[in-house]
Amino acid sequence: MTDVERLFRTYNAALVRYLTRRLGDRDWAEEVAQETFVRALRQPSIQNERAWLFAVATNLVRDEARKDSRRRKHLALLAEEERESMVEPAETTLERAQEAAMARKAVDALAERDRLALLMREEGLDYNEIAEALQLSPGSVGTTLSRARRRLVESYEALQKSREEREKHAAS
Amino acid sequence: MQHLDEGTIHAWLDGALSPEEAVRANAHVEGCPQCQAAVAEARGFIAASSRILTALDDAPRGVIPMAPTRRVQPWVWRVAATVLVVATGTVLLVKERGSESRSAMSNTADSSAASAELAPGPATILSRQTAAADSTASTRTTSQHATAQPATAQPAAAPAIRAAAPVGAVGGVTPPPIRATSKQDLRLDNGGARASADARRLTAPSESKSDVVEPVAPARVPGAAAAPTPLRQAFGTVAGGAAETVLREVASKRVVGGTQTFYEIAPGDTVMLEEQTSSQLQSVVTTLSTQGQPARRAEKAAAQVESQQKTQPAPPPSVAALHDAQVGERHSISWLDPSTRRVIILSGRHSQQELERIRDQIQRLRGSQSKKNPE
Repeated sequence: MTDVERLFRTYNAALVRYLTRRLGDRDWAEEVAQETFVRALRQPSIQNERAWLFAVATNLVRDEARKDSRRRKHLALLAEEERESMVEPAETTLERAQEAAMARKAVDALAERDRLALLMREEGLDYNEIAEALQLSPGSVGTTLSRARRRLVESYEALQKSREEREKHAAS
Repeated sequence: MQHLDEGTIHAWLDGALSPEEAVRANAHVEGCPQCQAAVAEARGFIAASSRILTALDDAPRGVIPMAPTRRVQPWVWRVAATVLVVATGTVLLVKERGSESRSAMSNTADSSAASAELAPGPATILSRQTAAADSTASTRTTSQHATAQPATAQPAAAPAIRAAAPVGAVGGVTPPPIRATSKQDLRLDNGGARASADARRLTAPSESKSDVVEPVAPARVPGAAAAPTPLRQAFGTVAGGAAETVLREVASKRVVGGTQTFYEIAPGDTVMLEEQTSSQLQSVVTTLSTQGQPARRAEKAAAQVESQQKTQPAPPPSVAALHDAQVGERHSISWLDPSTRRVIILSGRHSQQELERIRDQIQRLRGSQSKKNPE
């Protein structure tokens, strides 16, 4: 197994999930993730792989990466293999769709840095990795995360509340 | 002591504080109801935000990661293909029986009866072969397990070797040489007269040793592991392809989420083409019952293998090989079909170079069949 394959198998799931949460589009997320691994391929050595990958993926989202079709295909293949080991989720209910929409709204309401730090943390990056990926000081990650979590939960709860009120009105 | 700020509490709960800081934070929180409340609140935020973020995972394409599960164990395919191969080979040999020496064929006929029963078609092989091989005490039947248990592959293979040269001679084309290394390959082009002569020379010892008496004793057939090569090369001449063996479809069946098509490259090589209708994934599994050959054979054949490899032009890089992973003794290559945008995986007990050749063949065949069988 080549190095990029090892990287891919180790980090792709987390990276795609991170990007999906960030972008709200699975295909786009996979595309960016693949581009990230292509970049990793060109890198002679990477010190902190996870921080590096998440930082590059984050930057790519901003930059709209240039394509490298051949390597992209390779990675598309690996993604296909991985997809093979996945199962279709249960049918998305209306309830879940609404939850997802509210979650998206709440996440989008966060400041970019807070959002990214939180999404990275959810994928298991430690404070040092988050600091490295986002070029923060390690001491500020806790503050960033606490703010992100609080705001996310508060805005989600606000959305939930207004939905309940709408439903109440609709029922009456 | 000063109250803990929210960032520190989160860092503490996230395990990001240094041990000393953690001890200090713990000591303070124990005696500070206000900070205890803040910690409880922080825990709530951490849990809730995680839950909220999971809702984002229901992304449009709709897949969630699961623990990797193999659909079918690779050895199953290997055994299945071996059964098919042995059955095909023996049927072929039985056909040729009239023109061949009866003493040479008698053992083959025995084993062909068993293997023909085992292999009514690829669709049923998978479910039946294991039970059959387990329940049948006959040594010959056990040999159907060839690839799973290399040592037992020899009995069934021995008759094939004996028959191979005559079949080739009947067709007027001499078979290419036997491969001597573990890189058993699908050599699709003829190695030339010298190499062919070598092949017969290599084949001869096992003939003399294993002919007539007790072909089921593995120790008596040291070279029999190479059987598929002469087998498929004999077939290649029968099929009329001296320069290049022709793939042919031998069976097809529907499975959940797609179809499985078995192609025979030659009696020694069966290829399973899996097309998944839902995910558009195609995987091609080539199975070849090739085990390591005895050293003396390897030595004999090594030189010619080398010389032949030199004559092999590199396969045209029509499609970039995207993937070369070795799984145990198996290799696999994968590529993306540029026209269909589907992923194809070709794996087998071949070297990458050989797999690339098989790939080219499959692509050609698929190209020619695409009108007949729209995917």
